[in-house]
This record gives sequence, structure tokens and C-alpha cells, in this order.
Amino acid sequence: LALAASPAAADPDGSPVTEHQLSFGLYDQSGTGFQSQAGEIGEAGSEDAVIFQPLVRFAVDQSELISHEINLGLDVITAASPDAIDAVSQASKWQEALSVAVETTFAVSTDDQLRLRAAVAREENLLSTALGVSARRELADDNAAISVSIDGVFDAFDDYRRDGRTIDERAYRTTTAANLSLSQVLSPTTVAWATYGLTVQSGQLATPHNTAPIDLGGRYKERFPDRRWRHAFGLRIAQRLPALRLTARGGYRFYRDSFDVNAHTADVELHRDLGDHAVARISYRLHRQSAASFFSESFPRNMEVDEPRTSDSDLDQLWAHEAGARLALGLGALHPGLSGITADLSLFRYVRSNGLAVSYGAAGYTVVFD
Amino acid sequence: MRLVLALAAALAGSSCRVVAPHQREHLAHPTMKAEPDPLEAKRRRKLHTAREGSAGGDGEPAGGGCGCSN
Repeated sequence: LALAASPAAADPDGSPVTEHQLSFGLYDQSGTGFQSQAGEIGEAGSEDAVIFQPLVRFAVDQSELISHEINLGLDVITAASPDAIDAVSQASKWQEALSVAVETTFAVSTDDQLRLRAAVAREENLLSTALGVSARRELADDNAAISVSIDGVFDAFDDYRRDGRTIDERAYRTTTAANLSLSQVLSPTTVAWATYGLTVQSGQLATPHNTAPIDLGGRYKERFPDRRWRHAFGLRIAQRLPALRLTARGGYRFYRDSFDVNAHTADVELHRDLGDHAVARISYRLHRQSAASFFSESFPRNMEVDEPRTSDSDLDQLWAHEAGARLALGLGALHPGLSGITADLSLFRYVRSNGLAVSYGAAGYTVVFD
Repeated sequence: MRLVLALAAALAGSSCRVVAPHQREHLAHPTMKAEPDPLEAKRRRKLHTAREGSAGGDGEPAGGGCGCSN
């Protein structure tokens, strides 16, 4: 991937590639959760993991009317869910996931765009395919835009018995999502966006290798309702302050679903130009969510087989804080031959109130061809 | 929720305001894009989706496509 995306390999004179981007991410996660069996009986188990994640993006102009965006991603995860029940596949202990996504945009008219999306993701125990279509219309002399999209995701994955053996029949999950997005220029220095998303999921929604502790010892398999309705509404605004060479951005998102999870998320970013070739950014994100109605750290021994249950810490009541910093440097400042190449470095710290923390960083570059 | 709806209505109602192309110099700054860095946005979306059971509202499907239940 690195060779394919290296600046030296690109041919700005003959290539249809208009932009490409390469980024390497590294995550160091520590924490505990009751869905993990990697701990003492009655206590939350380990969720420690290290994740290496290279990502590549290409933007390609096929013609004046057709363009493509291609995304490739690789996740290498150690101990995704230590000592879970899939003793045979190892899918929860060491995971390599590859994803490929292609998005093609057709300029139907000067104001209208049609976009098609297709994606495939492969993990050891999962194959996911996604298709989507969206339409966008520019309004009011390009001061506003409205877009609607519909996406479908089909996941097929292994299921497991409590003894760790793979169940012969694959398990399935479908996800259908409709999104409405609006953007509006509010002034020569202000732009705002609003989005609403409705997602319906059906099939086996529980993580196949997650378990839930039973009072006084033992474990159930995690079980979810067969359908989940999810609503999310977001607002975002960006304000340029030319005198300060600063951009302030802020967003808010409200989420509600049929599992009784309600969430509020707010974030702010400050981007500051450092001379003509560098931009520094600091950011903070705050997330608050309520627990799923069927979440508990432990369940009674006499539960009905089909009764929903989870001890997954991701569905617990929690606060999450994330702070980050990023520096992007245009390499044209160092040498004229590197004009159009921007290198970036970012660092984040993510901390959850229910015992999970992630330190992560990414380094990469973007090449833009004239 | 009422505040959210009021802000959405105000945003939609302001669509008659027109900023001419020659006034858009500052809007063209890379930090004024919907997603200034697409790869970083993808990376952070995945991190949050995998650790918080409440994804969506960003033009993407809320869930699916991974081995986790979020």
C-alpha cells in the first residue's frame, strides 16, 4: 500500500489521480469489561488491545463528469476480546480486517450529483458487503446543498456455541440506513451542516463471541433483540476568524434507539494557521450515553433462553472524553519540489468513565495534484 | 430536543441568504470543509463506533460492517 501511494510513484502529468492520502494509525487500549472472560470470576475481564491501522485514499477523475474515491483500510488487532468463547477460530484474539470502499460521483448537471457507493470488509469470522446511493443538489447559487442517501449493509459471520465450537450455520445481520443532510453558508465566514440518520438493523445483532456473567458463576451467551431502530441528529458549524487566522468548529449530536440508549455528543476544534504552510489543531469531544435496557454486569441463573442480555461495556451508561492535537505541514515550505504534499501528525487520548482508555496517534501525508 | 428542532428550523430558514462567489475566499480554506481530513474522520468514526453503542447522524449507517455489535 505504501509503495502504491508513494509520491514518487505518482505521475502528475499522465495520471487521473487528483489526490491521494496515506495514514498509519496506532492504538494502545487498556481497560476492562464484563463481556470479557479474561479476568477473575465475578470481575470485569481485560479489554487490553493494540491496533495497527494503515489507511489509503485515492481521488480519481475519470472525466469531467465522473470521479471516484477509493479507500483501502487494514486493521491488525491483538486481543480484540481476550479469552472469549470462540476457542476454535481465534477471531476474538487476533484479528486482521481488510476493507475496500469505492465511491463514484456523477455530475448530472451543474447543480446535481449522483453518488454510488460499494464496500467490502473481511475479517476472519465476518464478510460484510455494502451498497449505497446518494443524491445531492446545490441550491441558492451554491450557498446551500441538500443530499439524501440510502445504504444497505449485509454482514455474514460465524456464530459460536458456549463451548467455543463454531455453529455450522452462518449468522446474518442487515443494516439499512437513510440519511438527510443539509449544508448552508450563513455568512462569508460561516457555514453550517445538519444531518438526520435513520438506521434499521435486523438479524443477529449480538457479538457472537461476547458472553454475560451469571450470578454465582458461569456465563450466558450475549443475546440482543432481533431488530434495532436507531435515530441520530447532528448539527455542525464552522466559523473562520480571518484576523486571528483561526477556524473554530463545533458540533452536537443527539442519538436515540430502540434499545433505550440515548446519547448526547458535543465536540469543538480550533484550527490555527502557523505561517503559510502549517496548520495546528486542538480538539475536545464529550460523549454521554445511557445504558441499553438489557445491560447488566450479571444476570440471574434462571433467565429465559431468548431473553435479551448483554454485559458489553460499550452498551453501559458512560461518559467519554477525548482530547487531541494535530499538526499539518505543507512540505513545499522545505523544498519547492515537494509542493502539493502535506505531512500530518495527530495524537489523541480517549477515556471512558466505565474503565476504558485509548491512546492513539496517526502519521501520514496527502498529495494534491494540480 | 426542542432546541435542536429550533436550530434546524433557523438553519433551513436562512437559505435565502446568498454569499457571492467573490466573497467566499474564507469559506474555501481547507478547515472550512465538512470533513477537513477524510481519513482522520474515518479513523475517529470507527474508534467511536466500536466503543460507544450509539453511532450515526453523520451521513453513514449506524452499525454493521464489523464483527462487533455496535
